[in-house]
Parts: sequence; C-alpha cells; structure tokens
Amino acid sequence: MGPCYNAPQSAAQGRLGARATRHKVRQMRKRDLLHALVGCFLAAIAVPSFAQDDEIRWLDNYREAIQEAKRTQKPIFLEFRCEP
Amino acid sequence: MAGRAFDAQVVLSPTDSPRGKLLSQYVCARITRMDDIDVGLFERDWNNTLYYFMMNADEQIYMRYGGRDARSPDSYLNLSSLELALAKGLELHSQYQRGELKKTDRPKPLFPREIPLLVERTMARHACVECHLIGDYLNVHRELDGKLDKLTHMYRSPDIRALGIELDVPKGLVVKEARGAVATAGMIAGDRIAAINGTPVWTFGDLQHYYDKVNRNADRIQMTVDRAGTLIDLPIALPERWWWTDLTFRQWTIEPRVYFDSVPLTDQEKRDLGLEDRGGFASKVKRVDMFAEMTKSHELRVGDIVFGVDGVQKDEVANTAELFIKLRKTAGETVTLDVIRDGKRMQMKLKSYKMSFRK
Repeated sequence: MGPCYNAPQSAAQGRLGARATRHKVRQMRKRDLLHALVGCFLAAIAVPSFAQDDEIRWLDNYREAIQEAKRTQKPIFLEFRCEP
Repeated sequence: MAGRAFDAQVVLSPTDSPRGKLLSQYVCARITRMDDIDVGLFERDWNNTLYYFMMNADEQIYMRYGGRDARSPDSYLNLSSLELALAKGLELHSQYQRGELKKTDRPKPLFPREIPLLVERTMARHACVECHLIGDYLNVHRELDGKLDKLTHMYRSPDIRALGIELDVPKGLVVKEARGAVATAGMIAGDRIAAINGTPVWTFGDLQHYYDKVNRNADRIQMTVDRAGTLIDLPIALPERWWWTDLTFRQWTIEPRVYFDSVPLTDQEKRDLGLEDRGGFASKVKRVDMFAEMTKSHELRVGDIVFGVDGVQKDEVANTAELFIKLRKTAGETVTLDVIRDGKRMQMKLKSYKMSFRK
C-alpha cells in the first residue's frame, strides 16, 4: 500500500511552512505518479515476458504457423484437437 | 474427454523441461476448428480427437503422433514417446534443410466446404466441424456414390495386436512382446519397427496410418525392424480378418448396428446341426445389447444360433452373422434371420439401426 498524502497538517506549522509542505506534497504526488506509471509499464512488459519464458507459445491459426515457420526456419508441431 | 489430460500436459509444457526445450524448437500450433483445414493433406482416422503432425513450412509431413485403439483413446499417448518423436522430428527437419530428405508429393487437397453433406448439415448451421463428422460424411458420400468399401473405410485402423505386436509404448515403436504372426516371421522383443512395406515409420501414429493403407485383400506385408542397429526385413503372413476391429467407439452412419455379439461355431458344431460348415457364418449369440429391446431391433437371446440372413448362410469374408450384416447390408435395413433356439429352427426379423450423431 502507498503512503497517504492527505494527513491533516500540524497546527504548529507556519504559513510558509504550510506552503512548503503543500509544495512538497505535490512534488511527492507527481513523483509517486511517475513511479506508478513506470511501475505499471514495467509490469505490463514484464508479465508477458515471464509468461513467454515459462510457457510454450501456441498459435491457433494454421496459416500463421506456416508463415512463422518460414520466417524462423523452424519445423511445425501441429496439434488437431477436436473438442465436441 | 479423450486425450484431455495428455493435451493439457503438452500445451502447458514448461520451457525448462526436456519436452519444453524440444517444443521450443518448433513453431507450435493448436487447431480446434477444421473449417479451413486441408483435410486431404492431414488425412487420418477421423475418430481420433487428438492428433499431431510434425511438418515444415513447405507442408511436408515428417511424421504423425497419436492414434488409438478400441480399448482406449489413450492407449498410445505417452509423454516419453512424444519426446522421442519431437527429437526425431528435429533431426528430419535438419535433413530436409540440408536437402538430404526426399520431398514427398502433396496429397490432393480437400477442404470441408467440398463435402456437400458436411456443409449442409454442419457448416450451414454454424456448428463445429467435428473430426469424426469429416470421416463419417466422406463415407456417406462414398456409399451414395457406390464407392464404399466397408473393409477399408469402415474398418479403419486395424489393430497391430491382431498381428501379435505389443509395443513398449513409452519407447515408441520398440516391441515389448511379439506373438502370433509377427513372432512366426521372426520379430522379437526389443526390435524397433522401422518401416512397413518400405515406408519408414517413426511413431505409432505413422505405423497405424500406413498399416491402414494396406489393401484389405493382402495376405502378406513386410515390416522392417531395427535390431541393434541392423535393419532386418520380416515378411509377415496376415491372419484371416486381420483388418477387423471393434467399431463400438465409432460413430459411423454407414454401419448397421445390430446390438448383439456372437462367436463363430466350429466346423464340427455346424455339421452336428446340419449347417454349412466351410464358409458358413453360423454363430452363437454371446451378448445382447440393451438397445436391442429399447429400439425393438430384434428378439435374439444369448445362446441362440444365427445361421442365415435373408436366406444366405455363407460368405467369403464374414465368419459371424453380425459381421455378415455389417458388411453386406445397409444401415437401417430390416433382414430375416434364420435362428436355432433350444434345438428348434425359427425365423425372426432384425431391424438394423442407423447411427445419427448430432446431425
């Protein structure tokens, strides 16, 4: 869980201090948002990469398999699964 | 469902497993709809719900993997033998790329949309083109065109056990036990079946496919075995009705269902009853299916002897009454049986049943 920036300000804080605090909070919010976006981006690319590393990629289209085999020079392992 | 566990284990193979490492060297594709597939190229016994091909981008098939028998759809599915096949497939692909593997002729294309009854009854309704429907409708068309050969088209995938071959399934085509016809020909445990009638085979799927291509009138085939690195040709005398298989698991519209099983009488038993001995198909009922009563097909009882069908008592192929009906009659036809019950001769009707599966 992320930090909470909506905590009540201390009554002892002066006007200048309060302004600085608000500025700091805004900066932190921007930085955290940026971190969150970067995190989301990394997660978005990292999860499929992990899945691809851990599992075999199966195509479900015969023509696509032929094209992929031409491109990669690999043989094809073709499964026909009848699922009545 | 047939092959479900095997299918899942293959599809979910971890990439760091031996099987996954082999699969990673292939382009893997899993096809669940046959609508746009060239079923001429991928011709097979269509009652297999799970089947594999190793091939290349030029659509040359290196080998097949799969195949079943009447006992179970999983009899010959095994992850160890699949790994052997995958490794061999890579080897054949390397040979092909180096120009060392002969290019094969591409079979005549055939697409599901070219099978009229399949289009009319399945595709036009946006229903799934199930594999067995392809085989069945092809046979229905053959029957309509007068080109149906039941020995070939209905009795598909003869069982290699009828020849005496028991495979060591995890090891692919290595023979675990050789009996009967193949033992007589010289096959022994530990041999690896390498070719049938000169065609190389690498998997049970290959062996079953090419064994199925043998002319049903043949009385001999040649199998080549690899024995400790030496190839040995074995001429095998085919036993009578080598092509016969249990059709129970199949959904053949062309098969007259008769709902009883019988065993042939010996020649002596036939003579004792005053029946045709040589070539006569008199047989004793050993089981009556409950569907006989449900469908009012017939009133045969266990122990009855059926010695004639529509006045015919002999056949050059059939050795039992039910085989005679399956081979010589059309599904749905009603016939008259000659029966001996408790020593008394009688006649009764039998209405064969025509299978209709999701049509």
